[in-house]
Amino acid sequence: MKVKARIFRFDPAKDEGPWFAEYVVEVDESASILDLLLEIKKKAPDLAVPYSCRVGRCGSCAVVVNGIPVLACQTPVKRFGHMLEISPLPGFRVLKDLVVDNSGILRVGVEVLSGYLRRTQPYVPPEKIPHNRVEYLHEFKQCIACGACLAACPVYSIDKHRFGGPHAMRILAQYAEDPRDGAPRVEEAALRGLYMCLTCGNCQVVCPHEIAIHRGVLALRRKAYSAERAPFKLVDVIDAIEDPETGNPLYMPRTERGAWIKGLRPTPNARTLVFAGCMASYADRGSVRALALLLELAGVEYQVLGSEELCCGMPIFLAGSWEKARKQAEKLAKMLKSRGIDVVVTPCPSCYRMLRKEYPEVLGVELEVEVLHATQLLLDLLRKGRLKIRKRVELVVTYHDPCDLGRHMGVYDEPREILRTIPGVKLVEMLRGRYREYSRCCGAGGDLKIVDPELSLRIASERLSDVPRDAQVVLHACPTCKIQFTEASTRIGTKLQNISVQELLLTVVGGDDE
Amino acid sequence: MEVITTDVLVVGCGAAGLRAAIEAAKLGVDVVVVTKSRIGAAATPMAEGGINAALDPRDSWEKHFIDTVTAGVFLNEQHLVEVLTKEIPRHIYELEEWGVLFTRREDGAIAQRPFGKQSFPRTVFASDRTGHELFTVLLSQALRLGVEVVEHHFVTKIFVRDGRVWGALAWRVKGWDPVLFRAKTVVLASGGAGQVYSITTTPIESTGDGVALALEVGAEIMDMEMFQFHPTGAAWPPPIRGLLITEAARGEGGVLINALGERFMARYAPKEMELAARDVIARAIWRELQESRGTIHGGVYLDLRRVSCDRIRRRLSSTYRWLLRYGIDICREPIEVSPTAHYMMGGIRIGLNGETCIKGLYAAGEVSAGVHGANRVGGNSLAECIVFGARSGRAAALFAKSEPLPVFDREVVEREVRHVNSIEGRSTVSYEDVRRELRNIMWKYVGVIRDGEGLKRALESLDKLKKLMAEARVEASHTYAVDEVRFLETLNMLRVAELIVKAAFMRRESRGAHYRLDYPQRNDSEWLAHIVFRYEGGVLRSYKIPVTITRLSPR
Repeated sequence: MKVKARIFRFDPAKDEGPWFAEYVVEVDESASILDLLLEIKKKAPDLAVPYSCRVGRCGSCAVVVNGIPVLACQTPVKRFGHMLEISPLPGFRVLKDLVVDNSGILRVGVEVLSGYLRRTQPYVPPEKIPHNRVEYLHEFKQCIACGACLAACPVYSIDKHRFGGPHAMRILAQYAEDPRDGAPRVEEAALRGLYMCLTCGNCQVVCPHEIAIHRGVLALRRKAYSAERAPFKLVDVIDAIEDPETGNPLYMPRTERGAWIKGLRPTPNARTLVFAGCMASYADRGSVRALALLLELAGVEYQVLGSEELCCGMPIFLAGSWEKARKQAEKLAKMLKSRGIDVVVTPCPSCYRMLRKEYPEVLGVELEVEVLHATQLLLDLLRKGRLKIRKRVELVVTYHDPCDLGRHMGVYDEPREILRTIPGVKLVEMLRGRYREYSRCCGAGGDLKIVDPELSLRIASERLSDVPRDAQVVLHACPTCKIQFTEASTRIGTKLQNISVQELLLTVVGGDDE
Repeated sequence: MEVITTDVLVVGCGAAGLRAAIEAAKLGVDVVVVTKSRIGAAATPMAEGGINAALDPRDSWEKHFIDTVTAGVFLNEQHLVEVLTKEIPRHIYELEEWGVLFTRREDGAIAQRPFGKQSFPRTVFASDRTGHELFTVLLSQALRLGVEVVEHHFVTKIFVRDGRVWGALAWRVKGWDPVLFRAKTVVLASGGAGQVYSITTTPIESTGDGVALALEVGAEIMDMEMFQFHPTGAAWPPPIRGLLITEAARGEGGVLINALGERFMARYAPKEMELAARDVIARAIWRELQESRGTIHGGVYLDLRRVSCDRIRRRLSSTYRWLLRYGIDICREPIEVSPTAHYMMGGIRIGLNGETCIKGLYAAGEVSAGVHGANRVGGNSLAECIVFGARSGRAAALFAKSEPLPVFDREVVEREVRHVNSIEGRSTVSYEDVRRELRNIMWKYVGVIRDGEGLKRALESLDKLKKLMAEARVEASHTYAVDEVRFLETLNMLRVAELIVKAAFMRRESRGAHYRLDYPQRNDSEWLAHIVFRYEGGVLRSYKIPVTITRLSPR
C-alpha cells in the first residue's frame, strides 16, 4: 500500500526550527507506524526514530500521528489511511526528529510520586492475596511509561503544575488498591489534583495497554470522599442534590424544574419517559423541548416527571460517594417503577450513562426499563419513517462527541446518521483527529465545572480550536457540552453557533401525518 | 571530559543489572548503572512467560536442578545451576516484598504454571508480562536506594590494567561526548546478541556488546555456539515476523498443527508434545517446513482454540490484544509461527559470584554463560538474572569496599577516544548494509540447523564483511548520535558472530540448540566440554575445558 507521510524533522544542531519532510513509500497492508518509519529511514538514513522492543513493552516509540498519540510499534498504518503526519510526542524536549527526552516519566513515578510499594506491616511470606484483586492491579501495572496519556490529557496539557496527570493518577490508583500498601495514597492523590481529572477517558483510548485510568480515579475519589478529602464545593453540591428544595447541582429551586414542559403535550401514564436531567431542565431547555416536540410530531406518547424529576446522581458518583449515588439511583428506580415506564429517553449523556451503565454495573441498581439517548430514539423514528425530513438546509457543521455518550457508552454513529439524513448539511469532523473516541472533553467532565469553573472553561476554549474553520455550527448531543461551548465561544468572541442535534432536526422535519 | 567516579559500575539496565545494583547499593557503596538506551529498552520487560522456582512442597530445588541440566544436555556448569535453583525461591518472596505481584490461584497463593521440560509446574508469573513486572519493581528499588541510572550512554571500552578493572569509557548519545567512568568494579549485565540474526525476538539493543567488551580485555567467552531459537516466533504478518509468541501459549494448552492439520509434535516428542524442549520443537517445525508441510507464509499453526477465551484474555492478555491489532483473534483462529533467534546461552565465563578471570570484572544475566548449558528452559533466564545479579552485585560491592580506587591511565583513555572518533567520516560503505548482510548470513548458515559447509561459507562472508566494515564510516550527527551507536554495535556484532560461527564449526556433534546435519549425534566422549575463546597477547585463542559436574552425571 502506498503511503504519503509528512514527518517532523528537527536537528537542534543544524536546523533553526522544525520542518516537515514528505515521503512517499510502499508498505505492507499490515505494517505498523514503526514499520513505516523504518521504511522511510531507508530513504532518509539520518531520520531519528525512537524504538527498541517492537512489542509494546519498552515505551520508547510513542509519536503523534494525525493528531493522535500512539505507540508506533503497536499501531497499524491502515488505521490512518494513506496520508499521515507524524510528529514527536508534545510536552517533551525534542532530541532529534521524532525522538524526545521522555524517560523522566519513569523517574518521576518513583522519585516524586513514590511509585513503589510502601508496606507498613512486616512482610510474612508467602502472602495470600485474592486473585481477582491481583488481576485488577495487573491492569494498572501494565503501564510502560510511554507518555501517550500525558499528550492526550486535556487538563495536563494546560495545567501540569496543579494536575499530576494520568500517569500520576494511575500510580496512585494502583497503590491505593494494593492491599499490601500502607502509604497515604489518597491524600497524595488529593494533593496532586485528584478532583481535576475530567474522567473523560481520553488517556485510556491512547494507552497501548488500554488502562482505564479514569476508573482508577473514580475508585480513588470514593476513598477520598470517605476520608473527607472531597472538595467543599462538591460536598455542597451533594447537599443541594439531596435537598428537597433544590434537588440539583445548580442550586435551582425544584419548583422551576418542570418549566421546560410549558406548552408541550405530555401524556400521563405513557410508557415512554422524557427524562430531562438537571442541565437540560435548568440551563438548556431548548435541547429537551426539541426532543419532546419531535416525539409529538412522530406521534410518540411520552410522560414527564416535571418538578418531581430527580438528579441521576452523576455529580455525586463522580465526587466519590457511591453510597449516596446509590440512594439516588434507588429512589429513581422506585419512581420509574411506580409510573409504569418502559422506556427512558434523555437528551443528557451523563444521565444516559448513569442509568444504563453505572447503576447496574457499579451501584448494583437494576432499572427494569430500556434507557435511550435522544439521538438513538430519534434516528430510529427517522428510519421508521415516523419522522420525515421536509426541508433542506445549507449548513456546514461539525459534531462534538460528548465523553459520556462516545467514549463511555460507545454511541458515535447515531448523531452522525441523523445529520447525514438532512439534505444540505455537510458534516466536517473536528481537526487533529479529535473526534469519535479521540474527541476532547468540553471541560465539564468529572465535576471539574463545579470544582474549578475557570479551568473548565479554559479547557472548553481550547477545545474550540479543534472546530474546523469552515464549520458554521457545532452540533451537540449533550446539554452540558453545549453550555460549555457556548460560554467559551462568547469568551473568545467567535460567532460560532452551538445547537443540539435535535434542535436542528426540529427545524427540518414534519411528522408522519403531515 | 566528564568523569564519573563510583565503586560499582553496572553496564546494562535489565533485571540482572538492576538486581546487581540493588544488592551493591544495599551494602552501602556507590553504584552507577549505565545503559545505552532509554530505561526500559531491554529484554527484561519483554519477558512474558515467567520465572521458575521450586516453591511447592511437592517440588524441590533438586527437581528444578535436574530439569535444568537435562534440558541443557549436561553442558551446564552444575555448581551454577545448584546455586540458581536453591536460591531462587527466597528471591521470589523478596521480589514480592518489594512490590512484585505474581498471579494468584483461586485460594490466593502464588500460582505456578507448567513450562516446557518441567517435571513440576514451577513457573511463577504475572499475567503475561512477568519481566515487565519485575523490571518496574527492580527499577523503583534501585532508584530508592540511590542508584544513579545514566541513560543513553554507550560503553565502548572496559579499562583493565595488570588483570584488574579500573573503569570504562562511555559515549553520551545526546551530544556524543566521551564520559570516563572510574570504577573499582564493573558488572557487565548487558544482555544477549539476538540481533546478529535477521529473525529474532530480541530488542534492537541485543548486539552482544558485553561479550565484545569482555573479549577485548581478555575475559573467557564460552558456549557461543549455543544460541536458542524459540520455536514460536510469529511468521505472519510480516511486521511481526520473528516476534515472540510466549511459551505460555503452549503452557496454557495451545497446540502445534501443520498445514495438513496434523498435530505433528506426536512424531517428534510423543510424550512431551508441545512442551518438549525448545530446541526439539524448533527443529520439529523446521523439519515440517523443509518437508513442505508448512503454511504458504512459511510457518505452522499455533492453535489456541481449545483454550477458553476467558482464560486467554486473563492469562495471555497482552499477547491476545497485541495480535488483535494485527487482525488475529487467537480465540478464534490459529496464528502462524516459526522459529526465531531468542537467547544466547553462551557468553562470559563466570564463577559462583559472577566473577570472571579479570579482577573486578563481573558478569550476570544473558551476557554470562554456564547456567543454561546447551539449551535454556523457559522461565530460567529471569531466575538467572535475579540470582546472579544479586550475587555479582554483592561480590562487586564487597570487592570495591576492600580496594582503593585504582589510578587511571590518561593515555589509554585518549587512545580510545581517538579510536572512536575515527569512525566518523564519509564512506561509500554503509554500516547498515553490513549489519543487514551479517544478520542474513547468520540466519541462513548458523541458524536452527547447521553444517560444516555452511559454517565455512558463513566464516568467509564474515571475513569479507569485516574488511568492508573497516572501510565504513559514519556521518557525524552529534545531537542524537544513534547512528554512531549502531555503527559501533555492528562492530560488536561482527565480533560476536565470528565467535558463534567458529564455535559452531568446532563442535562436531549435535547437542541442545546446536544441531549439525553432518554430525547429528551427541558425542559425550569428545564434546562434553565447553569451547572457550580468549584473547592472549593480541591473539584469539580457543580451547576446550571440561564441564563442571557436581550432582548429575551425563546420561
